[in-house]
Amino acid sequence: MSQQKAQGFERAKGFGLGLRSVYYPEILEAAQPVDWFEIISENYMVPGGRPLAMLDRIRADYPMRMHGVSMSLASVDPLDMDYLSDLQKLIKRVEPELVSDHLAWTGVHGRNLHDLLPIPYTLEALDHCVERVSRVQNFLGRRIAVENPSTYVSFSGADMSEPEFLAELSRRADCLLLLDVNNVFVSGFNHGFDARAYLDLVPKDRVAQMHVAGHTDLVTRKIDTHDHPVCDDVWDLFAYAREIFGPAPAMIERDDAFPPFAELLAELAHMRKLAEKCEQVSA
Amino acid sequence: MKLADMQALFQASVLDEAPDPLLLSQFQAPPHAEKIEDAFAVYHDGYRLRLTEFLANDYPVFREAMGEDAFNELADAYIAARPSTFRNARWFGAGLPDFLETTAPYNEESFVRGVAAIEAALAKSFDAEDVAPLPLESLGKIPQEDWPGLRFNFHPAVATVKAPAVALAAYEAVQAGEADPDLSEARAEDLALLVWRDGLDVHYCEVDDLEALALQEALRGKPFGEICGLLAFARPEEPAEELTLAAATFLTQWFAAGMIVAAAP
Repeated sequence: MSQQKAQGFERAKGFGLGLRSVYYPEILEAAQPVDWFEIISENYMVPGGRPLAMLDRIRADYPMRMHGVSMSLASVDPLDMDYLSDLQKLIKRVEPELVSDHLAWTGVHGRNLHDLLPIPYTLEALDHCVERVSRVQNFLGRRIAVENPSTYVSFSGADMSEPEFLAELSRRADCLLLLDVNNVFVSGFNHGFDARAYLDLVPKDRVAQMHVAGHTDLVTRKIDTHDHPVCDDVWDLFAYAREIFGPAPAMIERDDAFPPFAELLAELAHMRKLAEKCEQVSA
Repeated sequence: MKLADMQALFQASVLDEAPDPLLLSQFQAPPHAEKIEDAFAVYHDGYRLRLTEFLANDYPVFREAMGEDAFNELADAYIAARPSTFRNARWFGAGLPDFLETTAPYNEESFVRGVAAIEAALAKSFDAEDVAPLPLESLGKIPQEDWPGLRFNFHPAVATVKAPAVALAAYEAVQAGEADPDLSEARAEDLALLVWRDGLDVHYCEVDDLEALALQEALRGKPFGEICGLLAFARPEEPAEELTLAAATFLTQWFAAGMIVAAAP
């Protein structure tokens, strides 16, 4: 049994897009060259109406993956069991190939800052996150994938690097990883680390999915805004990641300044071509 | 520093005017000749920008009616007074109409309060729970003698809103894409709006005083006979039979619009 098969995601391949409501008309009008869609889970954690109706219609034609922003895996607040119950209901409805969230926290003392906040990569934080991810997986009855965040500050008292932290987390909690290539690029610039060296430390047998996206370049800092096309530097890093991690499912995230759907499809076609080229080189 | 202490300090530094120097001392120096305060501002300023954007997305006409500067000022006040405890950003702005009702000077501004109330009701209806409505035919199957005791459960997407007519005129003008609508003809007095959903589409219409009263009582769970009595009390000059007929007509319309999901004595 190969390592990938042991991780249980050997069937999943292909190239996807984030499902966003502005593209519902095109997606419903005709079959699109998209292998699967990833939803932001919270967008569909509503009582009913059009969002869930659109979700059901599109799910009937495409596989889906669920990506959350509110699990607050690294928070010291108690796990929000109401949130996890609602997530579980959505999982039953969608039957996703993968459920993911971020290595981040969104608030404490009951507050939600609606942001993906950074943690120090300490042994204490690792123990905490291992316990949280394990409890979430036990509750959901499935493994989740944890995404590397984009960050704008880093802590001086860290015991390990981010990829080392993710490697230990995935090993000890037996979770999967969602590798966001753009986040590695953005954080690498913001904190002055080598993005390729980062990828070299990520465990190959845990990466169940990849994200790429555009970001905003503010000269002294890069911000993960998802409102631009993917830049050449990120495509280069994506190609490097394909060499390392092989044909993991990959997708483009776009969350603002939405281009015509055809432009996004062209960007996805570029991703597909680039990935195929990497596979040929590897073969 | 312990993780819990760091998170408390980090959050307080986002919520406060300026970050705590103790928190800043925990961070590595940024590599690109940038002050650490500027790097932290991504979180500090981003928090306000993001929550203001949530409000702008939920209340686009209200924002237009307020004007950008006044809207941003209001957003700051709302964010400070009602910090989010919601996992889902969808619900963060739901408390805005209540905030406007209870906070000076907004509680004096019936026009913008009305616009916010209309947008909040439409948004709530948009993704309210799906419940199968009772078909109109089911009303005909209820024996006439049971009608006085009938109580109704309404579809979760049904709501009523009281707002100045000028607020509705402003809402409709902005929806129609009018950049600088002329609202001089619009009435200042309140009107009653009924909001409901037909399938996936949200609808609204103005209802007269009599239907508004009948709706209000029916939504409160009053039985049909009592609703008829209240209408007669409100309109003593009109024959009671006509008012009963009017109530029956309302009821038929509510059924036909898919607004009723249960009716039982």
